[in-house]
Amino acid sequence: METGERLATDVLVVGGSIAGLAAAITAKEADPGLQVTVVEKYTSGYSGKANRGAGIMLILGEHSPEEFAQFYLKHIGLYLNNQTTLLKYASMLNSGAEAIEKWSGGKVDKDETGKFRTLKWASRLIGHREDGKAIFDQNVPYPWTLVAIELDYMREVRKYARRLGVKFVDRVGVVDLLTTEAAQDGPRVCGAVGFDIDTGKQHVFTAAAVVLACGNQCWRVMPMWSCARGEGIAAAFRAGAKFANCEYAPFYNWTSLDHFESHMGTEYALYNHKGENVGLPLIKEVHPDISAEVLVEWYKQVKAGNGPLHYREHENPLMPYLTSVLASRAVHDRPYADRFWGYLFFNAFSQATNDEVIPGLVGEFNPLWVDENMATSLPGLFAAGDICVGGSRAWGAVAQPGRHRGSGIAFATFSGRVAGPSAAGFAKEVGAPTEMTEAQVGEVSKRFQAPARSKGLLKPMQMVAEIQKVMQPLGNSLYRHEERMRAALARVEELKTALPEIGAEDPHQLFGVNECSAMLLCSEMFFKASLERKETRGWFIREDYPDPSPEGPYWLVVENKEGTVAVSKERVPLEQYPFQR
Amino acid sequence: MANIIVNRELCNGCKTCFRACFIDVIKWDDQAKKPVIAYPEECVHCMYCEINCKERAIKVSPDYQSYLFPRDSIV
Repeated sequence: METGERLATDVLVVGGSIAGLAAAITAKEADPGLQVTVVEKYTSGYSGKANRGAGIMLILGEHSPEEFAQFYLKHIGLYLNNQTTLLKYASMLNSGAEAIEKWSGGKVDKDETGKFRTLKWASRLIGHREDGKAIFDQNVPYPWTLVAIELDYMREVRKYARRLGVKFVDRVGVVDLLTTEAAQDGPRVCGAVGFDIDTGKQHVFTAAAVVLACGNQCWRVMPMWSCARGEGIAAAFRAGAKFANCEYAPFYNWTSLDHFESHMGTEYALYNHKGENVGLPLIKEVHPDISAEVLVEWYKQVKAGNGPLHYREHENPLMPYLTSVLASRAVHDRPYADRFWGYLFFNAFSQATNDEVIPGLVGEFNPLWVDENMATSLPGLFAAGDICVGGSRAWGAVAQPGRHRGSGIAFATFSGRVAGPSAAGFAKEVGAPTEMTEAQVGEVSKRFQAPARSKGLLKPMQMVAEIQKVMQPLGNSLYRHEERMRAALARVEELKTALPEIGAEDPHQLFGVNECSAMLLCSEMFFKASLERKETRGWFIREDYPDPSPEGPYWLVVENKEGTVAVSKERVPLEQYPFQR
Repeated sequence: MANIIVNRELCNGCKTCFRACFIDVIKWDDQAKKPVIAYPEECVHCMYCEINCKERAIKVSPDYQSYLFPRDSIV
């Protein structure tokens, strides 16, 4: 076998979207003498989700971290939070926007005086200024506010990192981590193996510390989240890392089979086929964002024969807000974002034929366990961004985006800014590892390249279609029941045995198989953890256990026990935290 | 599948569309210095290639009806 490229670095960052760039920049700034390398499957500065969303970032504004945390614990996270990480996140939100502003050379929208132009989520339109800008009544109960970032910002952030001396390796997808047996403290992560997505050439990276910032798992169901295929999660599992909150993954957006674009605020204007508004009665006084109860109501209505369900957009009170923030200059000045959203909305809504809505699985399976310093359970391995949102336990009993819009970029920037200095500190302390074995590299190549030798006729996209049939149904992934989950898990096991039947003709398809394998592992972790949580708590809802368990809040931890997915309970140490119920 | 059209006269070979694609739909022909629309059936119509093209040489026309989605497995 051809020996591929070899690269030794002090800190290796896997993933070059905003979390990875934030980690790389802050690692380099923490210790400019260290060599920091970003390896990205596509092209850093363009890749990932953080430049294809709203470009909205959450900050606290005038609110205090304690105020934010208390609101969040009470109304969203329901005390299933790691309060240490939650408070750290809150206290770094304002400076996160300032960091993006600095790195991007001024891409955060500002008013005439140079201050960030903020707009609170779900404010009500009350009029217009002389220059046409919308005026909103911002008297809403949420203790945070939002800034808007121009959507081409990440290219500038990449340039900033380059100027600091960060190295970039683009179009190399990392498929596994390398570990070494340190004398006393067990295995340590000492690098990674990747392959060029165009040529298939192997790349071996040795590093003193690795930061995984390569996204979560969205099972490729909803279009704009398609890049999140869980390969980093699977690599961390094989290396022996610990996971948490696997069962809190299934974020759904309201969407349409006509175009798959999302409809925010549907719960205010959701009608069954008999003409009854079935969303509004379930909206509580404090309703920060999309509600799991209303999604479950969709299921109940369809099962009761009251479907399909309809979305009467003209009754959605959020519409003036949403149309002003996205694809419009009514609030912010972001020509690039206006064009991006204008294209999306035009393409989607010009092809809408009816008002039927369905829940589309976004997924956001993000369980890589990290402590408040973004260190995983494996020495030498750190994480940032979407891969560890759930695993950080900062947000509690809720699916990402945590019922606070603008949290994607906010958490990615926060966790990157924590992981970077943590990884740099570790790298400086331990120095470069030397024990990486060629045998391990060979095993990775053998596994990754096996589909090229397979005579199987199955194609990766056919497998993706089968996996989606298990994950998309709301009755499997959100409104859960033991019977349905056991059937889903059995189908996942069946599909796992079909993996060797997938053949690959080129590097693109080789990655397709690696992604399918990661999707199935994530599905298994998801259903196995979900079966163990025998209660309903926040975004985790079971038909067969409709109430919270009397034993109090606990996290479910998933670990790799000799290749199998093992689930155990960990009590939430509420008494050690500042805020009690 | 999505129809992704490249105007080869307008295209100046800058590679931006190839870099812009976040899921490897667009490959690059080094000799012709032009994009190759290798996996249009996987396109999720994010339009990032089109929006980033300074020459306006690439156009994505989505076809939502063929988009991979488990239409019969929703409930």
